[in-house]
Amino acid sequence: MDREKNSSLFLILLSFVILYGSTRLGLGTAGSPGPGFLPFWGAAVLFVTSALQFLLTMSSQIKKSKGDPRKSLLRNSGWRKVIYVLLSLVSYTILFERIGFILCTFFLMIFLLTVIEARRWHVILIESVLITLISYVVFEKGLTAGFPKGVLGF
Amino acid sequence: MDLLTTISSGFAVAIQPINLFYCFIGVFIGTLIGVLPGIGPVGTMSLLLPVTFHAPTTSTLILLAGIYYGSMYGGSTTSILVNVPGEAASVVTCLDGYQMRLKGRAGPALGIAAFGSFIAGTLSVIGLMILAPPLADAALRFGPPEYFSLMIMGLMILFLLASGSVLKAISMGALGIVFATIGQDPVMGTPRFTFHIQELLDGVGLVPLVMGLYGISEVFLNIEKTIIPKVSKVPIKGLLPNLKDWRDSIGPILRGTGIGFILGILPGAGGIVSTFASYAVEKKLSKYPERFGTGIIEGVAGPESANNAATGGAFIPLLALGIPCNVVMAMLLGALMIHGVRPSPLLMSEHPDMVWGLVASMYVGNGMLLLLNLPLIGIWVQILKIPPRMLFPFIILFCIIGVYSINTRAFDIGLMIFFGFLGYIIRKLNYEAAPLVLAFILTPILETNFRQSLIQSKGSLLVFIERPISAVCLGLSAAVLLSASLPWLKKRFFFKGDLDSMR
Repeated sequence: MDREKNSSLFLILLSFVILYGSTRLGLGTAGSPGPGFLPFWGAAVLFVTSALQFLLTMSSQIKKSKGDPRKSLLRNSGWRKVIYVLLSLVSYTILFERIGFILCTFFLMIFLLTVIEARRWHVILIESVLITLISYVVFEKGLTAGFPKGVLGF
Repeated sequence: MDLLTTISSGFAVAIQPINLFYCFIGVFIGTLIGVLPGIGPVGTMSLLLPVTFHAPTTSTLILLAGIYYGSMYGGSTTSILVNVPGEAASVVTCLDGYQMRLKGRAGPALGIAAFGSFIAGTLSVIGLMILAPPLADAALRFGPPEYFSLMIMGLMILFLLASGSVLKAISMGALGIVFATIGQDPVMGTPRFTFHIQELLDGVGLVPLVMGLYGISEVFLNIEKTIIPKVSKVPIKGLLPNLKDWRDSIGPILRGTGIGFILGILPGAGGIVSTFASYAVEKKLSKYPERFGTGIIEGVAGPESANNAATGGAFIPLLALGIPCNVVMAMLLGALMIHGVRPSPLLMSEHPDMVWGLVASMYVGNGMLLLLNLPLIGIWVQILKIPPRMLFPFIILFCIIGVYSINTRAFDIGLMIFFGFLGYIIRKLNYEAAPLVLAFILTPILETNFRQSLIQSKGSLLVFIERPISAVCLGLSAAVLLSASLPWLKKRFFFKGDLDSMR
């Protein structure tokens, strides 16, 4: 299964979930639509277009069954970086209000600067401290962004 | 008010110090991000949107518009100097611009790109001033049914003019509709797809969605495979094109302006399409078409003028009808809504200072861009040397701070990361984010007008057909859909042609 088919199948599945959810919300009638009316039709369109896309991919695969290398989303080695950055951002979101802006941002910057292009550790450390402090001063002290204080208390 | 009065009142607004400042910042940032490959005007506008919450509405619009047309100027610099288009709309400029640089004529190429952009940008603003008011006057007769049908027509044209697969564009539009319905139902207040999450009761915010889809996903895509442009150390001399250059370029500039302006009005990727159209027209009209691609000035002058003229054209549907014809205009519409201004045909009559101030600022901004882009070209070239390892953490940090500062809640950061990853996946799968964003912005307007129309008509759907303007819009929507489907259906079922032709 290549990525085109997978994505169409995923969208078909998603449209089923939305269709089910919309009917539970109440569709109403065309003259008096309920809360589920618009998402229902949105999902119906999604289903039709994804199903068509799936069929088109299937038939073009039958045509080009020979010599068509199957493409994968993960064909580049760079995808690992994306996953690392994604996980670091999710962790940042979870910890942001608990341990505060300064510590969270400092660790995020160390991580990002290391993952994107590894340099000497003291360069990364200095850059991370500078970025964190400058952004704190500009946005918290200057523009009163209202960052969470966290464990440091400021 | 006649045209002269409105223009002078617009200039009175545009030359206020605060608006001049915002205009300068806008065109400066626009040029900057145009030069830097990786982050586009939409990503930048989404980044700056939270910063503008406390700014006056007119200044916000001036800033955001400046980023848009400024990026069109900046995009040509990297195309000519390093063969890497800073913007999608500058791809065509690489063909002859880079060849000119290889021949040692980078100066005239950059010069004509800047002058052409200035002429096209200014002429398109004049076109905008002439065309928008009568269109807005006509649109004053619009009620909820007309608005609903107009939104449907806008969505149809938009999907069908998508730069990639039409099916995929419609899928993304449908997904945008679904995302827009998350939150409370506008009539009954019933929670829809909130999964008992308190924060979702207000719906998905525009800023986390756009910042995720354009800012964060851009970083994901770029860290996967980073392109570091090689910057030439050869100094650029002679930015002013000579008389022959002008003779060769003036026709392409004027034709590019016309093509760009008209295509810019149409929904879809006006700026990008217009550059290709202009290049094709110039090649067709040329006495020596075989020389295109070898470094001739017409190949730079036409497309660069077209992409700038398209920016002026793109404002017409937004200012006259309240409908965005591309994702950048959708961002401006979002900014208007955040500032409490309801986009509608009444925009010009209810907020003349804002609209004409914005339009006049575009004249001022085009002048600033000419000054910024020619004498400071050396600085823009140096900017290409900023290492991505510094750039991307900054973009992520700005996105986080920007999205958090709106409601001061970490949930919005999570939402932005979700949309960032979604944007990354959909772009890897050759889906486009633009139809999703546009449908997301248009759906609440569409739903409200649909419900209001039905309340007015006591539940009769005939209201959409009985009213002439609405019927024409729906008829045109059907015609657009048919015109795109018929060739494909013919090929598919009568000639058994290529299945990919629906792309």
